[in-house]
Amino acid sequence: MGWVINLKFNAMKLLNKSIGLYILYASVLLLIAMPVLYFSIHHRVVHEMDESLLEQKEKIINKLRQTDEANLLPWLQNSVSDVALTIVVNDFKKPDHFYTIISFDKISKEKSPYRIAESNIILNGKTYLLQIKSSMLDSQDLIESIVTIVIVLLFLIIAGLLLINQLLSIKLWKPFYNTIQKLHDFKIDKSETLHFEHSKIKEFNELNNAITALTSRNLEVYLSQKEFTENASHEMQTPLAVLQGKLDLLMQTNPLTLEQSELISDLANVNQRMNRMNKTLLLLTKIENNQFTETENVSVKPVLRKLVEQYQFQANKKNILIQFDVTHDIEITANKILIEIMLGNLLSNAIKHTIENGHVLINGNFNKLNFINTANTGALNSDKIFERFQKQTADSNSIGLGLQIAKKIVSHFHYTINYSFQNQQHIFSLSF
Amino acid sequence: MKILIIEDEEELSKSIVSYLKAANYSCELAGDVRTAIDKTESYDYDCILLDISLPDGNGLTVLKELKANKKSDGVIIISAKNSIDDRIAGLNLGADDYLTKPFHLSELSARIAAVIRRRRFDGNNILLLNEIVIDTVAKTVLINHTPIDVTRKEYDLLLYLATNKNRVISKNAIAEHLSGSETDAFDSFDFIYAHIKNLKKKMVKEGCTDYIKSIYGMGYKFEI
Repeated sequence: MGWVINLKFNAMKLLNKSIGLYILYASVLLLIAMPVLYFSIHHRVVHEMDESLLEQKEKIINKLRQTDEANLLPWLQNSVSDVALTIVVNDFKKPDHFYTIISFDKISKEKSPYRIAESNIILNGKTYLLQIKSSMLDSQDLIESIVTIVIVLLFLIIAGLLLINQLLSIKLWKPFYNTIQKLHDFKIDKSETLHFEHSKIKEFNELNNAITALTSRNLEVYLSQKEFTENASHEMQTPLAVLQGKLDLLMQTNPLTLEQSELISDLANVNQRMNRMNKTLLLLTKIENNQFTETENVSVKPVLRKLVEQYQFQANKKNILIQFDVTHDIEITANKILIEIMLGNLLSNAIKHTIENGHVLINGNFNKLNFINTANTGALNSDKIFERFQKQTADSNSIGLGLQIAKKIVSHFHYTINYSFQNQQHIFSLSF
Repeated sequence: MKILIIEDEEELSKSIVSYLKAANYSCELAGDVRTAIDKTESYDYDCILLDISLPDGNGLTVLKELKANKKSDGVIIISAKNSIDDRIAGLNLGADDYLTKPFHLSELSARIAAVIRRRRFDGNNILLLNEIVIDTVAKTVLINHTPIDVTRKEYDLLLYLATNKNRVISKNAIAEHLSGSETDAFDSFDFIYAHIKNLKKKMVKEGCTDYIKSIYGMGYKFEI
């Protein structure tokens, strides 16, 4: 289950990654937009202001033309406060021009920008300088409001994206997570094809279809391979039986020389190995096919005791001491034949791979069982040890299937088995 | 003793016939279900060896037929299938024993002997071999009327050798017989050597002739 959560977490990261990019893009865009906005708005504002100043100028000039000089100044002072008319000495006619000054505003008591339009006008032969001043929008205010807007916008975008992301991951990606969960639960030896619900999203449907096709193809290959092993082993039984029979008869022939007897013996031994290998392969296939359905309550301790007795001869021959130290009986519900085979394999394996005068220790309680023996080799490759035909010794007695069988039986009943190597000892630990 | 061998693999039935004939059994052959039913309807056999997969059907039909006709022939199923279901089905239908292929002819012979012994109505479960008496019910061995103290394994060994008297029994066959085919009997030759040595010692001590001979390291023979 932890794996699934982890997997989902990683998938979230994938979504977060894309949203991270979106957010980065939005931020960069808005950061660039800030000066662009500022300058374009500022330019716009100045332009508008200049136009309105020009308009005002025209109005003033018209008014001035209708008014005589004496009344001019009072009119100006009365009508528009921000208009100044001064007499300039030179009669040089300057074109209209605009500029911005920062001056102290008496009312708001702070410095604020003003836009000024200057133009020379000639009235009654005198040249005047007309200055029209207008308070401008403070650019700091402008920047402030732009930044505020942009930040709010950024915040809204991020919040929106996160929300959409969340919804996406929950709703849109749900079929995807379902698919992953199903794939995770898929076990080829359970012989079940995968079925997915139809999704509204084309890509998911394509993915599911591809997975269904892939798994059913795998299943087919797996089944045909399994069937082959099964059939091959079955079909082999009859010729093996014929061979066995002929060898038995050959032994009865008379006269028989020593040389012939040795040849027959060798043949018989090879045939025996072939038989055992075939039987073991069949057993493996049967376990894989779930043909051992009958279960009963099995007490492991007495089974082990019997097995220890059975292998006493082999242990004695190598002067191996078998210590039996199972404090509490292990009660399990399983197929007794399989449990006997599994424990037998582990015990015979332990004895086989113990040095002369060494020891085999079987200890455990309740749900743990360890087979510990003084090793006649170094540590075994724990990755390969439970695989088929992984013989790690040159012993011709061994057919390299014992541990695989044990492992198969262990996983058949959902127990676990582990191998470790400590103090020159092989340790096989079972937990039920 | 009449034996019917229902087996479609000719080479195998030939071997069986050859081995059993030397033990004074008279054998008949049937290669399919139809012939088998014909034969069982016409004659009584002491023991029938029955293969399950036959060209024209399942061997178990022969067994059903026997039961329907209230025949009491002993039946040993010899099958390539070692499935528990088949075994149970066969035994439930009245088979006396079940032997999985491949098997040793000596093992088959011993099983036939056991079936015939069990089916004898006169209660004669005693094997007589000169000075040796083996009681297969009490599982005891007497030499010159004196019981000798043999272990279970030694008793099994002696009975196995005796039912295959004057035949060479391979070490592999003895090992399999003593420890069962499911166990991983490594060092088994030393194992049987030890048992044979002990058995011979116990028998000779009681004044028995040393009948058990080792044949070139190939196997053992109970020579009488």
